[in-house]
Amino acid sequence: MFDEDKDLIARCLNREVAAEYQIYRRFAAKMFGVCLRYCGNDAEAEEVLQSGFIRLFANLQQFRFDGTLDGWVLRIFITTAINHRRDNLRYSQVVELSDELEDSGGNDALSRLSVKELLTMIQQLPEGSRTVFNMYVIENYKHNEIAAILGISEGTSKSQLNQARATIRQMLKNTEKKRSL
Amino acid sequence: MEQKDPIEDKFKSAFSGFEQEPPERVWNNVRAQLHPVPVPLSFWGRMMKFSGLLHLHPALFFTISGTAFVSLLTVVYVFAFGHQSIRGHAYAGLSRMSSGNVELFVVADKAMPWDSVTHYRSALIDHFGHFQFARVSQGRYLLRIAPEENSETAKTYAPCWYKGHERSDSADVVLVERKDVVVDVKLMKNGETVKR
Repeated sequence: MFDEDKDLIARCLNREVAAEYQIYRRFAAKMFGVCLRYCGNDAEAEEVLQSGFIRLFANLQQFRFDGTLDGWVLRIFITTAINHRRDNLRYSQVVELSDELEDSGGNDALSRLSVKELLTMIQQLPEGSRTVFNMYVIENYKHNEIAAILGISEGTSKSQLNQARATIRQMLKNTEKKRSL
Repeated sequence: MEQKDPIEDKFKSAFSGFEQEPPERVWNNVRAQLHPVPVPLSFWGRMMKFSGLLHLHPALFFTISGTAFVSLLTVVYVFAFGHQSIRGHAYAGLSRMSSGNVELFVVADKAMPWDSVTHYRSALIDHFGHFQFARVSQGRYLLRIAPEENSETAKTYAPCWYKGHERSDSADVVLVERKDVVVDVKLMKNGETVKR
């Protein structure tokens, strides 16, 4: 795999369209999934995906093989998505959420939700909390890492996460109500 | 230490391998940005690009190129349209000459009388009696025609000036202006009286 990647990257650096397409095919679907989570809608996700691939090919010579290509590509797309939304990011007031985790309300509804519905929920989150939720819950970043990447305080990161949790719980409750009617 | 709740676990597991195929247009756009197809430039676009290659300001470039173009047109006009030809046939009696020479002299109006006629060019008369001086500048000229030495024609006819004059000071002037000039020249018989 390592040699294959090395060869593929070398061909991309030689500006071979076939090699670039091979890279695109390999990552497009997965990265589009990432973009969809970070963006509010499909059109924006397409835009970010496109920017991400341009950035990927422009910076390919910087890949030093000290990690996996998949991890490096994922970081590029997350950074692209964050940068794309950075100007629009608004971090609302800290939401105190002490006992929310105890509230398991909506778990039944949750088990019945499809990935598409979950994606819609994420996309409906406010910009700031959506980014923090994605980074913390799905990408496994720590609050201090999120704070450093987004240029916010750890407290803001935590509050955004809490806000995301609260919003999602509310959405789940609403979904459950609709289904019970 | 942050706790993970069931909701987060659900999201994490749902999106851990989440993939969605993007529309084909994304690749088309990426490819178009990576390998842009050069758009054919218009004439003025090419000129602007060329001026950039020469590190010239477009205004300076167009001034220089405009001046050069006008100069070129002037040169072309002078060389192509400022010149005419003198051509015609040479006759010995009623028949055309089959060989001989024609000499062209330019008449300098403002020179002193004794050096006002200077030799300009020579041409051969072909087998059909035809001669031609191409690309002659506008002005006043004299023509002198002579049969080939030791030829049969030379025995009967003597060299003469247009139109049948023995001397240049009495010869008719060929005026070259904006059109080609066609002149027929006839040799004088030996001992023939000078034409008046």
